Amino acid sequence: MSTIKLLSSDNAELAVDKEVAERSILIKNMLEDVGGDMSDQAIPIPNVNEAVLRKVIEWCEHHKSDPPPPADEDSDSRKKSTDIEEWDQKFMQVDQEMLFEIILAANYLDIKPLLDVGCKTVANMIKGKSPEEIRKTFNIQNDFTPEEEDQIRRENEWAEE
Amino acid sequence: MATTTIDQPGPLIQWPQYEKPNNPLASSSFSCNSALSELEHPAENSLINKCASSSDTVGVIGAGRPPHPMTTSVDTKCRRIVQTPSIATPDTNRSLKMGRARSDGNARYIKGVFSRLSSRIFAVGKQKNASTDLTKQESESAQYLRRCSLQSDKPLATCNREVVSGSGLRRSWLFDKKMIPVVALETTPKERPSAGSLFFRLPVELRLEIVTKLIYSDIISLRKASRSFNDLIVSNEHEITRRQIQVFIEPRYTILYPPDSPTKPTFAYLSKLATKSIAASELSRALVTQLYDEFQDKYFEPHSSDAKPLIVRYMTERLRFSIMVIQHFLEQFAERKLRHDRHNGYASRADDIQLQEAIMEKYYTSEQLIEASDFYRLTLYLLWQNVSVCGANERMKRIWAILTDTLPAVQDITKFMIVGGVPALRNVYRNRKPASRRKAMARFSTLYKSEQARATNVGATLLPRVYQPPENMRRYSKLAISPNIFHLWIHPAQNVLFRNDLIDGLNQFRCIDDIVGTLLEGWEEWAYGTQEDAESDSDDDTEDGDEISEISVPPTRDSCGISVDS
Repeated sequence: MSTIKLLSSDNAELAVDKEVAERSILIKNMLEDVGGDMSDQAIPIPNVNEAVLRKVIEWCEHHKSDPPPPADEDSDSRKKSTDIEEWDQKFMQVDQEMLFEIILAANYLDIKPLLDVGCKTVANMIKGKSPEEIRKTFNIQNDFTPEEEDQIRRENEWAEE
Repeated sequence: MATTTIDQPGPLIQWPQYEKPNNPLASSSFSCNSALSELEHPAENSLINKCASSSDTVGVIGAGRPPHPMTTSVDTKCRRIVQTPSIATPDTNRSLKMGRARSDGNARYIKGVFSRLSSRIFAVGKQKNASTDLTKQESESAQYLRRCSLQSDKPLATCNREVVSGSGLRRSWLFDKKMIPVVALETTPKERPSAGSLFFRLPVELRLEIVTKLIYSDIISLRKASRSFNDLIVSNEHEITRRQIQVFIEPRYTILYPPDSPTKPTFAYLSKLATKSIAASELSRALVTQLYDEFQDKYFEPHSSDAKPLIVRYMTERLRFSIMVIQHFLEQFAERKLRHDRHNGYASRADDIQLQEAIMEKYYTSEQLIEASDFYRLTLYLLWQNVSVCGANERMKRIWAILTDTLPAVQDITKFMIVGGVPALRNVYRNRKPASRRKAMARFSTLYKSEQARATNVGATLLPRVYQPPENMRRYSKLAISPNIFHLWIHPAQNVLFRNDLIDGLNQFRCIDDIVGTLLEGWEEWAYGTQEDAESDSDDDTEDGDEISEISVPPTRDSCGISVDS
């Protein structure tokens, strides 16, 4: 199995199986465009640092045998939208900064399933919580005026029954 | 700036009064000496052997002093150190000139740390430029403490225990109010950005990707959390609504209640649909619960008593969509009849039935119509159980109910269904007792009669409104509603079913227990998994296929719902 090298933003060179790296559509397309062997030259990933890149590679390695996501993005979306596989749940048990970095990296590297897992993890931080609990989770202040708050409440009175 | 002296300790550390030393080295000599003296005590040798063997060179500075009275604490300490050798660090020699302790000299190392700290603190008090040096000393002290705490298995607590007994100082010395923040400041990592700021650092499309994974009620909670979240959601209203419809709402519901604008659906649409769905769910649950509680022996197959919540949930799910169909039908009928009556004058019963048939044929599939017809009759049946007065003194109760106007007439039920619809029925079922439900229906009828009187300029027009009637009650106050309960849904549905050859005769309409059987069909597989799963778990060598086919085929019933054993 051929190996390629990835160069993180902090100049760390990571060797990774081509098959694993090709979970990233960005890298896959890049390799296809280059057409040749990239084993001697590292592919720069300027937006992702070493720690995040290692996490992303870890995810790709675990999911290297997964079938490709369906072309029709809505075909599978009707299943519960915040369900996450057990392994992915554990994988996402990182600090919040790393979680958002992974989301950004998955978006940049165009790894849709990883992006999906990341977004679901953040969505689960909101799911089933009251506005006050959301504020605590995200460490934000209630900056509404009483009038604004009242207006939103009136618009959604049905939800408060 | 005030100079810190020994007599008047600075803000960093409060020295205990009863142990105020005479010179900066007092504490170190004291502690080392006491440790040495105790190590030489023959009675304790067996216990502290390891400590004594490697500590014969310790305590040079305080060699001529009498032993410290707190002897037992030293013994305890030594034992503890023997148990936790990991506290030793490679920095020991460098840090402690007097101790020269190696890996097993942890006690002396920590005592040394303390001694050195003490001496430095006292030295600070004597210096003139105390203000600048104090800061430096603070930092060094904290670094020592930090090193100590980071390198031991039990960070600060272990460190404290050693120091207390070794130097004879009170534990409060370390826990002085002024001291703790210094340690805390040194050990606190750099401030991390909050999840909120991290979230809003994401590009908008990723923020939306997260928000669209939430169900609508969560999105509302998020809107209420902060202005930034609200702005994000409101400014992407159409996209979020479109995704909600795509992901969370079954197509049959959107066919029944299509979005206000297919390309730009709004939150108002979602709210309206959610309100209807909630009403249908609540009514379904209430009806199923009533069915289970009142007719468990009559209509239900024997089952475990623990299964009630599962059965209620399963039946509720099955009933919900049909209740939505009924709700949709009642709304459509009331609205179209209102329009028709306004243009053409009061409609005849035949016109009303024709109008209902048109609605049924336009909106519902045959299967939906058959199922909703069954469940409509079930709903009426259960409602009638509330309205009818039964019991030992049935006649007396009925007379009393008529006299007190708490027994709605049958014709009032038709009005109630058309004008109030499913939400009003749900409100009635929020009352737990049948008598309360009956009264709630009677109140509705009275209020509607009052509105009708106002609308037709009879009597009550001049009287002020006592209650604020619901919007529907005002809107439909001029409707001429047939009092015959069979003219609403039942006859029109029969006509449509006959016309489309879906039934051949009236005997094909299912009885109540047949309907209950339909509702219950498959609940065990849903609740406990399929029979195949259960069989695969066991190691039986029996003919699985035969058993499965016997169990999985529901018992056939005739039209009156009597079980026929196959």
